[in-house]
Amino acid sequence: MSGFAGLNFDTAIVSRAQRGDRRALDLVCRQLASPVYTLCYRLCQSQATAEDLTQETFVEVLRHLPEFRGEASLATWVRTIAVSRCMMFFRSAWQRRATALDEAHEPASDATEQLGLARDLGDALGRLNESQRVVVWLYDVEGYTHREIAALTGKTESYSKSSLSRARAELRRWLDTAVAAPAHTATLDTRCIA
Amino acid sequence: MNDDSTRSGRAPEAVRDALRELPQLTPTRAVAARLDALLDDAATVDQQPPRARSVARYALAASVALAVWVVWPKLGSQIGPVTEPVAAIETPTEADTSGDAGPSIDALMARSAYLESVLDTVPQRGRVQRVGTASTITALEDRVALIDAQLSGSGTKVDETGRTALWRERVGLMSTLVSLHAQPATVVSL
Repeated sequence: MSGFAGLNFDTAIVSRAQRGDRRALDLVCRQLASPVYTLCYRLCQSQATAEDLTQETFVEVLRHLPEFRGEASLATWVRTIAVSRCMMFFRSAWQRRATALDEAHEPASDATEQLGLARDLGDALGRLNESQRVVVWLYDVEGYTHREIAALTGKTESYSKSSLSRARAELRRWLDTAVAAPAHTATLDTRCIA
Repeated sequence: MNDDSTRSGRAPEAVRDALRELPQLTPTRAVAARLDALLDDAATVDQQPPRARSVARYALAASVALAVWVVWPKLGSQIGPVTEPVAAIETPTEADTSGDAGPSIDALMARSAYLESVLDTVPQRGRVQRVGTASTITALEDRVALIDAQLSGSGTKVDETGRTALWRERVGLMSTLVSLHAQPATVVSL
């Protein structure tokens, strides 16, 4: 489930954060830091880039927080900003050059990803091409619609659907291969049954 | 889209569910430090003018120094649990914001570890300090070391209440250390 789901902030705390109250800002931003960083990392597959994008996201959040009207939840609003920053990164010429120079993705250093299905799936996600990864993560995890994804990526809904289909097929193929490999068999079987 | 399942043993929903079960990643120390700096800027800019901010930091440092000066003699003669909360320093925590009685030891330990990581990252710009600031920092670091010694069990055994108080004080001291290390940049801006 998306890390943003279920993050509901008390309106009083949001109001205090909007007025620049340090404690309220601290509470809100610390709770959002992990979902934002996770989203950025899952999409761009680079720790350094995820750090930069997380920082850029919070710069935007803090700059525009007083303008937040509460039409969506604060977590959803922040997620929109984070996704937007990621999309801007993907569109940048610098990123295209960097990706061309270094296609290998950087595995997550987080200890929770060191074992079992999480590592296999995290690796598999990193092997997808950029557009497939964006589509499968935004659709399957963050709950975006194909129309929303098409608007974000500048592609058509059909492109989003076909990318999703290919991404899922690739992920299944890699996961099935991982199951066949001896290293993580036990963990994978357990998690799949569950 | 749905016919993908015929080529593999896994249904599309299995992949989706597995993706959703991927763990949240813990932001790196670099992220935490950057976020802390952003929060400092965002909070103080809206609440106080720059000069007031500097004055507030000096006032905080002075109050900490006073607190250390007052508490120190007591500790010399009474090595044991510090049961009274440190009034001079308050550190923002989730529990504070929600109005609970106080943060748990686990929360205090986590906050303390976080401040340690910030201190590892932030202080480089504050290596050159005024003599007064340097001596205050030394006193605070010595006090932290003394607390660590008490928490690690050397000397008198500390009960749960005492441990909580010590951790709370440690968090306060660490928070002040972070502020003091950031202070020279503020002085230059005056």
